[in-house]
Amino acid sequence: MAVFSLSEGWADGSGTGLDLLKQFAKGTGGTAVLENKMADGVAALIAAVQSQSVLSIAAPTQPGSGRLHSLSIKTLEKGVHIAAPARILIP
Amino acid sequence: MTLTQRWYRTAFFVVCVWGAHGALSSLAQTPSAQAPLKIFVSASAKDGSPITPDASTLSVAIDKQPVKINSVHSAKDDKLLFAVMVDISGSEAPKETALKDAALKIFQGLTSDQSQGYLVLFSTQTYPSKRPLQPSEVQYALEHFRFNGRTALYDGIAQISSGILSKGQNPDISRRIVVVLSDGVDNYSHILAAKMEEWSSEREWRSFRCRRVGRTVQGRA
Repeated sequence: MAVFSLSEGWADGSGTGLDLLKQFAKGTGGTAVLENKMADGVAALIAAVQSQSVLSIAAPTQPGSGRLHSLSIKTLEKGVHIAAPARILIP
Repeated sequence: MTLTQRWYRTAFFVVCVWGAHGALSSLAQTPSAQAPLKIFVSASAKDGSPITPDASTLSVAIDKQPVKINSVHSAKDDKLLFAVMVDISGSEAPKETALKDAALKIFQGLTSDQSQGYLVLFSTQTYPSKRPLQPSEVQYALEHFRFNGRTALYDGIAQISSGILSKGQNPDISRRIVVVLSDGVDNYSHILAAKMEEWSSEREWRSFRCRRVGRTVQGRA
């Protein structure tokens, strides 16, 4: 389940709370939007949700026993950033 | 046994055998008995604009083992279930109007035939709506509460991910997201931030397994 967040704060985005929201977003495939005024970030947040992509991948041949497994998704495209879940549950 | 009863029994037997044959055939055609896995990702270009990544440039690994990518496409046609979590703790009181406006606009922007969402208010406790709401209902709900108390953000996310947004409660919707409107400060949760993601994923999964087992037992009874 992806975590998206919208916060109001200074442009440098410093602060423990904001750092954690960024971490949650990064580790779940979501996006953390930070703007000086919350209203300015609404469109960016909606666009981020609406532009989610879905990857269909072959399930591992061995059952995962319902455990969390590490997941890594990389791209060769320069300048492209991919936020994806850091872990995946395999049935 | 009458002739009609015999006929029904034979028809039932034929249907069962046909069903079992179909299921076994499909298993035999699939190298792995497991269905493909769906992973939802967000991709952005250098300028931050959202994009759909090109499958030919992607590589995926599970536990460092490469995995085959079947396809990549926009998730816009996948059903979406979302929860907008609004921080109503005392420290967010100065931003009350901005938070309420943002929550309403997000509901208006995301709600569609394919997409519905819960409104979740949280401070020291979490108060989810009893069902997905329409934007007009959200507007009404946002007018009737006060900002006060401390903040239990991680507890709130964990509760939502293992409850109303869990796979167990929504087995047919794989695209489920949480939208948090907050400064991210948490001063009341019982869950540690570092364990939050792992904890909520496992709880989400456990709830799914429990419900599946429950359903099986019920089916056999």
